Amino acid sequence: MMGLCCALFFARAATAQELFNFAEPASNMPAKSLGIRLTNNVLDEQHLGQTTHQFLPELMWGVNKRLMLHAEGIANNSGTPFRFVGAGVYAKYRFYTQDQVHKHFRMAVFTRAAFNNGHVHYQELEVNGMNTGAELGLIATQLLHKQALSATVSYEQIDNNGRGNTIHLGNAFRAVNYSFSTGRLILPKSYTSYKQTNFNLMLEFLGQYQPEVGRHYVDIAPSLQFIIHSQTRVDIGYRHQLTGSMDRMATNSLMLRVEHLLFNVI
Amino acid sequence: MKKVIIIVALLMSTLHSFAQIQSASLVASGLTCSMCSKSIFKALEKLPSVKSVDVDLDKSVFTIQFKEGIKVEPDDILNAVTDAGFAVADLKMTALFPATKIEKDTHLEFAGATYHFLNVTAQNFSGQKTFTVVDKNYVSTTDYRRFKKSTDMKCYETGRAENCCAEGVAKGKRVYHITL
Repeated sequence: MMGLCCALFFARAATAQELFNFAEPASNMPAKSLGIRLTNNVLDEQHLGQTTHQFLPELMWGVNKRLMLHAEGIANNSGTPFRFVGAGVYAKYRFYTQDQVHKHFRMAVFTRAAFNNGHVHYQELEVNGMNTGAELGLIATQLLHKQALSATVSYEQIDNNGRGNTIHLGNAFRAVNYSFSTGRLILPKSYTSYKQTNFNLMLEFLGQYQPEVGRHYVDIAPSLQFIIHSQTRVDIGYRHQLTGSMDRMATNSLMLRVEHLLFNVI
Repeated sequence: MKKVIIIVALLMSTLHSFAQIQSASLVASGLTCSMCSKSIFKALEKLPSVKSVDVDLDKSVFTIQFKEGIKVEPDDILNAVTDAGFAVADLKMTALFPATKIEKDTHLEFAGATYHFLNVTAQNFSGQKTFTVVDKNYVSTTDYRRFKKSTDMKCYETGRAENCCAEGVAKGKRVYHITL
């Protein structure tokens, strides 16, 4: 509740963007365009007493104005030398759009599916990087007089990971994920050219609830974003657990990302 | 015979220049960020008919100059903007007209498409003239309803030639609704 109040307060001061670093907005990338996204999560994996790197290279495709697809690889060095442990696909379909000048309200459904051969040590469920499984969700994004707010809710169903890496007895296979995101444009003060570097501050709240076992967590995730030449994103984010009752790979992590869009290449 | 051919060719080129849409001013909606604006800019720039695009980033206004001799229609612009993920809030196009007489609901063939004048008074004009496209998806929902009330013609709802349209316009053909 405190988190929600903080987010609403931040949102009132926000003047900005919806290209959130931890959650996806309801908007899609442009049709006939490709994007390359390289994400590296640096996790403080206390269970193994090591710093774990989780590398997620993604290829993104704007199929048409409503549909976008991602294909991603999943690699990490959790208790092993650095290696690829899985792959996933993601699709987002924007089904509702109400656009006005400098305003919009949009809704989208998304789905993600992945296989993963990595070890399963933890109670947290995450199809995007840790578990074999699928996710189905709904996103609503409101841009209003340059303020952007976005909320996501999704259902996640996982299975045992490959190569005999099974879920430990008593751990959940299902989860409900939710997020609330807002962003603030810091620079430039006014737009004059596509070559201006944009600097954004984001604040996001990311939560998971596992109804089978009653475990939960809520993270706060502040982040910085630079947009260079209106075409390349550099994101730096920090994720910290506010409250939680499950074993996780890390309750503190750093996210580093570079994303580049290639307009109208298909 | 050679002279006749040259005269006919000159006449054709004159008529062609009269039919040319020269420029457009587009206000795009649904965006604030420069990355979003750039996706529209790139989509417009890629249209075969577009010579150049200038943008006012703060106001999301794109000023488009068209090449001579290549057909351009409002739907080319609309599709480029919607494919980029956004919408058209206002589209004004400037064309060179021959001596033209119009009144409310006049259907006029020019620049390779059919245009239906809505909400205009009877008038004559020639030369450069700017018109606004008021079809569905080119104006706000409120303005669309307002224009819909101003005409009984079904073609405004469908954007296609209906029985209500003037003779000589094939049923089902794309009809753009414009006002001055």
